[in-house]
Amino acid sequence: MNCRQVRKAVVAGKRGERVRRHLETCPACAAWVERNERLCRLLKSQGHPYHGDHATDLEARLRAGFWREIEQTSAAFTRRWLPTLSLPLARYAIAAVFVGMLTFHWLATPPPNGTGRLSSIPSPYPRPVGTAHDFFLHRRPNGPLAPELFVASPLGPANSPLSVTNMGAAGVQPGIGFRFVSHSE
Amino acid sequence: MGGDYSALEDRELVARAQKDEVAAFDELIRRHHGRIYGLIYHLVGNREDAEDATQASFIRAFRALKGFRGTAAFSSWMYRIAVNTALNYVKKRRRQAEVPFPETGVAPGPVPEHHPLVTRRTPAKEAQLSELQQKLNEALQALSEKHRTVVILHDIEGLPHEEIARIMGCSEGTVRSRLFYARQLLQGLLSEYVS
Repeated sequence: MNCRQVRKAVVAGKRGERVRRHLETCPACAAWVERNERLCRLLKSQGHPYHGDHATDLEARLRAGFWREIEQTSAAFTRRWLPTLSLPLARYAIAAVFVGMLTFHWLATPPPNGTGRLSSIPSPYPRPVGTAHDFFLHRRPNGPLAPELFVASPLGPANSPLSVTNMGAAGVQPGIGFRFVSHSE
Repeated sequence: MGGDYSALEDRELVARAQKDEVAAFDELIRRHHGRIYGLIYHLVGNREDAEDATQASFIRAFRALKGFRGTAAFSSWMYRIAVNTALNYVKKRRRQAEVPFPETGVAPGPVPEHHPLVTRRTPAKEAQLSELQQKLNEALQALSEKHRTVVILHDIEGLPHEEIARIMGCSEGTVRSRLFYARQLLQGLLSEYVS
């Protein structure tokens, strides 16, 4: 081991046999190690860099300053961001309602065959009254209504409890939907 | 919830603080402020910045507390925040010192790293520091930030290499290498005390 390796090993806290032997034969390294130990003692002796009144007040100042800062930033956040946060939220809500109304209107508009678009899927199961929009806008039968999920599938049997429409027979596209059915007629 | 927080371990206090029990975090400040202040003081080199940076460190910790998973000790996590905050303060001070004077538009020239730190002291404050502490402080400020941090964490705060490596985000070998280099420099800077 050369001098540099020995000194690095000492700093790393590795004092093996080879290091010890080197230090016995190298006065320069032995002196370096002694200075290193004095330096370590000096650094360790520093401890807390405050005394007296400063130490007494430090904790109180830090804690008071900390909570004051937290309160101020919370208040500033509320003042600064809440109005701006609420504005886009309100805009999004209005836009969502508008889009919803347009969609609702489009769905409720009957195509040339006469019924609403969503209720255009035929079903042999209890007479379909129509989808929600039909119920609210167009056709409100007097009898009791039951909500129903339906699946239009080429594999499903007609008139199943799940209201699976036989797509092949009905000649419609596959899909799922929600509608009201009336059992009164 | 409430009670005697001083009897609780850090882990329990952190868990309570994460549930918005602010008194638990207050206890953590009370418990750790001394070591954090000491660490930061040695990093920034003056009391005013040390106090500001200590407060800023606790504020950062408080805001990040929900994300603290407890894989390391709270003190290690806090040390890391404190080191980062302190080094940011040092960089900020250095940038401020390098801003050109508005009247002349001339920059004051290259500034040694420790210059803005020691110049903030007043003679009255200087007198409060012992000569040895002052010399030591100046010697520490003469080191680069990375070397200073390693010396402070290892030789003053007594942390093991492994933990320092975690805090500084480097390998243990790098920590040992920086420590060796820093000790070499400090031996020269403090020769009158160590020879």
